[in-house]
Amino acid sequence: MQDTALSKQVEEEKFLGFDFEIKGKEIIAEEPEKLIIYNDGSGLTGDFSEEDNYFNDDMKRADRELDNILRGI
Amino acid sequence: MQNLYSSFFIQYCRFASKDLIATFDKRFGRNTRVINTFFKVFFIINKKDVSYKRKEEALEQLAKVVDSYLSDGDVPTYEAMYISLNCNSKDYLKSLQSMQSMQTALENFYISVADFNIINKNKLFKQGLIEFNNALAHLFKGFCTSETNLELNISKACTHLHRGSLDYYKTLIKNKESLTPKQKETLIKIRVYEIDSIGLNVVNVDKDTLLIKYRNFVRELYNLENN
Repeated sequence: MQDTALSKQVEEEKFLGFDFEIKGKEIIAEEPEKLIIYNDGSGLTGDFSEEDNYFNDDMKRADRELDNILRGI
Repeated sequence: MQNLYSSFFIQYCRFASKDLIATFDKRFGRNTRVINTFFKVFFIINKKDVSYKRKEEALEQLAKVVDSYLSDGDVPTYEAMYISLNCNSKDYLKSLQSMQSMQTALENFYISVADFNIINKNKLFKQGLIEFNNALAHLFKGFCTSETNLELNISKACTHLHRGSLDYYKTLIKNKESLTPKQKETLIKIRVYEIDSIGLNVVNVDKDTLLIKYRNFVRELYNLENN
C-alpha cells in the first residue's frame, strides 16, 4: 500500500500545471498607458481600490506582490 | 512538503470557513477582492512554465491575504467549520487525467477576464468572480474530501467557468451604449446559436462554440484584435 501511495505522489509531483495558451495579443492603444499585454498574464492584474470590500494594507501589499509575479511570467 | 494544490485548497478552506458566514451578513457580503486574489494565485500555480519557487511565493502571498481576511474581527469565524484536509487520500492519477479536461475551461475564463480588464480597467466583475468561486468550491470538494465524486465536481467546475466566461462578455455587450444594425443582427444570430447549444458539452470548446462567438463579437465591438 505504501508503494502505491508513493508512486501516486511521484506522479503528482510530475504534474507541474497546464501548458496554457493565452493567445491574446498585445493590445496597443493610442495612449501608452493603455498598453496592456495579457498573453503573459498581466491583463489579470489591476488596482481594484474602487471596490468597497474589506481589503487592508497587508492584503494590498500581498496582492501587489502577486501582480509582480504575474507580470514576470 | 505539501503539494501546491493542497496548499491552495487549505487556504481556500480557511477562506470559506468565514465566507460562508459573511455571505449571509448584509454588512459584509462576499469579499470579491479576496476571491480575486485566489483567482490570480490559481492562474500562477496552474501555469506550467512558472517555476515551483514562484508558485510557492504566490501561495505565501495568498496565505497573507487570507490571514488578514480572517483577522478582521467584525465577521465571526466559525472554527468548527474548519475542515481537516487530506489531499493525499485521493487517487491522483485519475485526478490528473480529469484536471486536463479543465485546461480549456480555465484558459477561456482567464482570456475573458483579461478582455474585460482591458475594457473596464480597475473594475472587478463580481458575478464572474462568484462563478469562479463556485468552480473553486467544486474543486475543493472534489480534491480535498473523499465523499464526493471528483469527476463530477470537475465537470461542474468547468460549467461554472464557462458560465462566468459568458457573463464577462455579456456584461460588456450590455455596457455598450448602442449597437449598429449589423451588430444587432450578429448578436441575434449568437443568441439563436446559444439557445440551440443548450445542453451541449461545454468542456470541448473549439472555434465554433458559443464562447468564441461572444468573444469575437465583443472584441469587434470594442475594437480589440481577434486572435
